[in-house]
Amino acid sequence: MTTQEKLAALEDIMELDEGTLKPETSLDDIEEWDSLSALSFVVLLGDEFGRKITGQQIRDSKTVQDLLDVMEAEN
Amino acid sequence: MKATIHGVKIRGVCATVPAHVSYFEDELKHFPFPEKSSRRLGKVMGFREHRIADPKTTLCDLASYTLNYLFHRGYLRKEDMQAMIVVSRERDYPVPGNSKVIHGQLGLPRDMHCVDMYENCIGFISGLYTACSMIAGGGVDSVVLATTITGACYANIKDRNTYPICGDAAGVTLITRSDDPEDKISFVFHHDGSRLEVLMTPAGGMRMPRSSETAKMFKDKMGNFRSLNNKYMDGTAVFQFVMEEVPPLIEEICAYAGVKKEDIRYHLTHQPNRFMLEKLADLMGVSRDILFNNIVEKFGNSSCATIPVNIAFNLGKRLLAEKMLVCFSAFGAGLSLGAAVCPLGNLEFCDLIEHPGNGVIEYTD
Repeated sequence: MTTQEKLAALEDIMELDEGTLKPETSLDDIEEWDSLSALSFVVLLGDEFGRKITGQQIRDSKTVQDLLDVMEAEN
Repeated sequence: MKATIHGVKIRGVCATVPAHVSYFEDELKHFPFPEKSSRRLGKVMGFREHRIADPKTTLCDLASYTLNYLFHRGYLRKEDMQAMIVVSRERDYPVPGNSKVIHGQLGLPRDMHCVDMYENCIGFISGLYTACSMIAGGGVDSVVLATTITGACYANIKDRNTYPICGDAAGVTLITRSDDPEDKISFVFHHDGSRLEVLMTPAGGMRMPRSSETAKMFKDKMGNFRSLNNKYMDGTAVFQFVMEEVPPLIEEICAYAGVKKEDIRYHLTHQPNRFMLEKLADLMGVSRDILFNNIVEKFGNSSCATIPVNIAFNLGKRLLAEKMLVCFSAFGAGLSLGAAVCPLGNLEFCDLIEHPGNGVIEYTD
């Protein structure tokens, strides 16, 4: 999956328009990054990437890039 | 731990929910999030309405009301009661236990046994195992299992992580000795106390008594307001725990009970939220039609009482005339897992009733 496709997947989770997210975007600035988005991210990681993330890792994530890093780690 | 207990069966199930309905839509304004975000969450998780008892109605009142209903209908005679197990994570008083409160409220026989069990979400299966063990151990031929909870009226409405799912209910299940060789119940339990922080109320016990310090509200990293007196749940960890551990638990119980997974007519699970149960059914490889997920959206998550509510609401009268192989499963604080496989049906009663509120214990038509 390219970075663009990963960003699109994150936009899909947060129900954002295409092209809204940039890697440097702070998660605190995204109203749609909430517990449901976090859970959807957990499901996406499991289903699409066979990866597991802890609640602590999610809470420690500051930017969109942090989420991309998790997706890329073992891809 | 695994066990099969022969010569026991469930004779009847009755669940009671408070008549008072609280609507998710009315609660949106209290959550520290935009309403759009909360609505989106509610749609996926299945948050619509839940039943909350008024402060005058306690978990013992709900259980006593249910028992009075059974007496009133002639499903159970007070003088025939030999043993009662009351399961809850809450209590009417620090001293004495809930079972003695109910015993006194109802004027139950003095020569019966009354015992309390502290349990969380696996309380129904844990209580069922204890009830079956008592019958197998001799001395009693029937046990009343009351799994009951109230306290949602004290839950923290500024915590969207826990408030929308809370619900109050009582279940009363009658377990009796049976001569039919097909009547047996197989159980499997697993626990992992090393992960207790995932789902816990930090303050209010001996480890950290409640104080003005523990009552201080703070904003957590996901934006909810809570204090150490409130229940905390790491939703991600609970979700992963259920997804990873319940499907193999079901395989284990089926293999142990000597039944094929496809022979299980219904999976009657604890009810945390719709989303988790949909994903669980998919991972278990069973149809979502045989693993009900509608209790949270209609009644809320009543901890140890969800399985009786699930049975009574979704199967109800069908269980009076039919008998089917079912698998109970539950998971929650501990972290704990429990499952049981047994034939369920030809019940003498299987009802869902409403409690009128105000601490009433007498049932009237």
